[in-house]
Amino acid sequence: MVRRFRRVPLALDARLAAGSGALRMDDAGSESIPANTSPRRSTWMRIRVALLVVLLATLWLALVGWASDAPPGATFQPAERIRLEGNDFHVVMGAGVESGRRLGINAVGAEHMALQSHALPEAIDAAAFPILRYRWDAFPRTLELSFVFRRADQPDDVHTVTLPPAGSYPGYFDLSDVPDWTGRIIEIGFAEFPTAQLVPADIAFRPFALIESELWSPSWRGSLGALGTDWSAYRPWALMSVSALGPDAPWPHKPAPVVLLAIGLAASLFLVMLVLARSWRWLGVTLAIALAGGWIALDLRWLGEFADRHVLTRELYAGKPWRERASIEPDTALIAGAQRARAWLARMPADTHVIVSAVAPYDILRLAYHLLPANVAPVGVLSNPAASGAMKPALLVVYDDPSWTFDVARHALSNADAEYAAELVYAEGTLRIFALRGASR
Amino acid sequence: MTLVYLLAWLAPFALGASIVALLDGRPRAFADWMRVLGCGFVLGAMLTALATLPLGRVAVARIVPTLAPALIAAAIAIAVRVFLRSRRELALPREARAMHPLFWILIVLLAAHAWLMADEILLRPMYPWDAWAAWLLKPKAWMLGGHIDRFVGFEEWLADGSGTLRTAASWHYPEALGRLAIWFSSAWGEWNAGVVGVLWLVLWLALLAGVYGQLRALGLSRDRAVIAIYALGSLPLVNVHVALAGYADLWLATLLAFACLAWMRALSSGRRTHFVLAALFALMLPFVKLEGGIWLALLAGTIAIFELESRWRRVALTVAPIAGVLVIALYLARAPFIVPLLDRAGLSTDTARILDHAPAVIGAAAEGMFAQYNWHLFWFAIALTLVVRFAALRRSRPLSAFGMFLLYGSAFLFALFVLTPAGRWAESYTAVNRLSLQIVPSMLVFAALLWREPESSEAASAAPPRMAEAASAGP
Repeated sequence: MVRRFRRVPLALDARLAAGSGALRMDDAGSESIPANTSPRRSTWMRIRVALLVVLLATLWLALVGWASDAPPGATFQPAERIRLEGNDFHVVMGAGVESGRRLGINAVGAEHMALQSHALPEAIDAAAFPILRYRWDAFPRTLELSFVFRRADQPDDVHTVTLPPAGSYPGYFDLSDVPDWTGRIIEIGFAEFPTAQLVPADIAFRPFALIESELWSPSWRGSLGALGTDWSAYRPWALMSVSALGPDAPWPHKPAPVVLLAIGLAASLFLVMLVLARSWRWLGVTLAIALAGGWIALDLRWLGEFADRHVLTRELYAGKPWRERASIEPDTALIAGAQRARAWLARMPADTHVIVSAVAPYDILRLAYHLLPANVAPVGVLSNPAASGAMKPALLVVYDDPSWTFDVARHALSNADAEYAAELVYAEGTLRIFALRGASR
Repeated sequence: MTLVYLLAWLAPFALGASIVALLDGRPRAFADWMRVLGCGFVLGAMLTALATLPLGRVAVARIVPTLAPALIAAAIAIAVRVFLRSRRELALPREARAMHPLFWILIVLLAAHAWLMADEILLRPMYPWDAWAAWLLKPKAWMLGGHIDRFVGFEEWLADGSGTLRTAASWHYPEALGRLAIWFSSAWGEWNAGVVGVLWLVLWLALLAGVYGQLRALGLSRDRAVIAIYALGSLPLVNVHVALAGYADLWLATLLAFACLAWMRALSSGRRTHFVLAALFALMLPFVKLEGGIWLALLAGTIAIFELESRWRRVALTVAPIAGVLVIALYLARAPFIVPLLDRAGLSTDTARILDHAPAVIGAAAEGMFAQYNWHLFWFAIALTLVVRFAALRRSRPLSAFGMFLLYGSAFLFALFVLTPAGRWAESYTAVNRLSLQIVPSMLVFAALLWREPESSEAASAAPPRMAEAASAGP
């Protein structure tokens, strides 16, 4: 039994392993020593190995430098730092309290948003401080984190960029990836709000604290930190996730580890082949093995990211019965509107035609989904030529869509495209329901 | 959990597995069972969904009680025939070599993927856009409304006075997945996203099981087959399509991969039943998603070309690319006699503008394949395999045919994104990776088959028919 597994795990085609310069295996599977070894050859081999080590170190340093966008001439540590403690920021939206040097955020403000700001005593040159370092305590996964700043040339405009969410370690972000980070900066701050289209706004907030924030001059440490943060930061699920992983995280990205591994492994083995005079076949086999190792490394990283995303799912839904989970949806206001509409529609015959209108296509489709089992159709149905002729009476549910105006005196409902004979049968807040009498005018 | 819900699971498994066993042989070894259950579930699920079509406007509570007994009875009848027939067949020798213990690490990693996906499915309400806006809108409407109402176009819906017709922006999408969802939902008794989403987890398991079983039957060693299913099961975008269940792409990808694998079995063994199995999987493609029709046409075209005599095959392989280039040239030039056709196909766009965008589209597609987190090192592995194992590809006629199909498929995706207005979906990354996903499992099994040890490639598949023929020729 023991002998059975003494073979290599991946028994690659033996024909690939043999070749000039390749390691030769004898029948027993052990490496055979060439007969013509000599001190001169041994010295030459040592030189080649030393050269290889230097070349590989240079290659990987260059690759990491390229991926992190580290300035080649920069020092490892930043020459200049602007350090701000948490309590250097003041609360603009929401509620906060100073706790030592920290700024604890205890509540959100309008539209479930919190904002902290710091007016710099004197304007700074954006290009001189491209690295942002930030550290939070207990930053919740339910919130999206943004960096905000004002420039001297546009003091009334607030520029915003999404940051990789802060974990338990300091986060780094390369502001030189943000086109607006130019000129003179007069104010900086952070904003937090519920992660869009993922977390219900009304249950998203949990208390957290801003510990510190720093702006760094160019350095290898800062650039490598930004690369590490980009690769390891928590990436929440997004609607984009089913289409592309990477772009689904809404901040500017560095090259993914996939690229670095692929280029690095291929180039490393190519160098080994050249310097140690291995064959092309050896290159093929070792590339296959390296690719398998790289795959597992990437998969472990992906499992970590997946588990990270799943933590929020458990936080929101675990331990609750299905009916309660089904009501925890990100578009809280829309669902409340749909519930009101559904309650009103329950009084109507089940086969009543219901047309749904809202400003955004997302809202139209969500409303149609949440109004089921009503016999719903999107507002696009009204642009069909049949809507002006053979249309049967229907109800029009208008959610937060001011483009529909109703003339009470004329009993006429109109938008930019058409006008309908109608009656307003329900109105509450942003939700209106009209009974359409059929033909448009 | 009720008896009806158990029957709802039993029916597609039993029906599909018995049909696969009928066409592929009675399962005896572990890999056979994996193949029969994996391929069988997918085939059975599709057949079950299609079986609801003749029911018309049926009450949802009646779907499973009406159909399940008939489907299970059919499955039992087929299984009995398989069993009686198999007594005349000789059992094949099993591979003596056990899997290397290190490969259990890959199985453990797959189990970690499965646990995360399962928990995500069971906890989260339906999340991705097209799941609630298109693919699972119909079954939810049916479930909450109580009947399988017909979905029609806007004009017909507006004119309908009966109230039994429904409409949606996606009314014309194929309904197989919707019907499968209502099958399980109605058996469960209420609309529950977790109950529907579990289908995608079982699909993932079935894909891995079916691929493993077919690769083993095609002569891949146990270790390499495990590597192949680990590679397939660990692809991040595949995981996302399971965890955030509700899209049709993985179903299409699975059917396409199973059709290709059954076709490879047919080419290797010469058994007509494998062709029938390939045809069954391929014919299901258009019932899942609209582009399934294109994949069916491409696969059928490739199979037809490789069934021609060698002289005609050479002619076809020469004419097909020339014809393709000619059509593209006429399209780009907007030749007057094809403009009406383009308008009808929704391609009446400024082709000069499309070509201006082409570099950006190609860049976005390449980024999705090589530089994002979607595929690990999959596309690099494909490129490396083609270089390292090109000699094996040239030696194998079945794999050359498979490679030709994948080439046509890739050309279709390239043309779709680079030469049509669909390029904007590539630039925004919204569709390019999902369409690639449809062909990825097929590409992966193609690459895996290129790593077969030479002596095992044809022999494994060729053995069963000879034995079966010998047995049936006897007294």
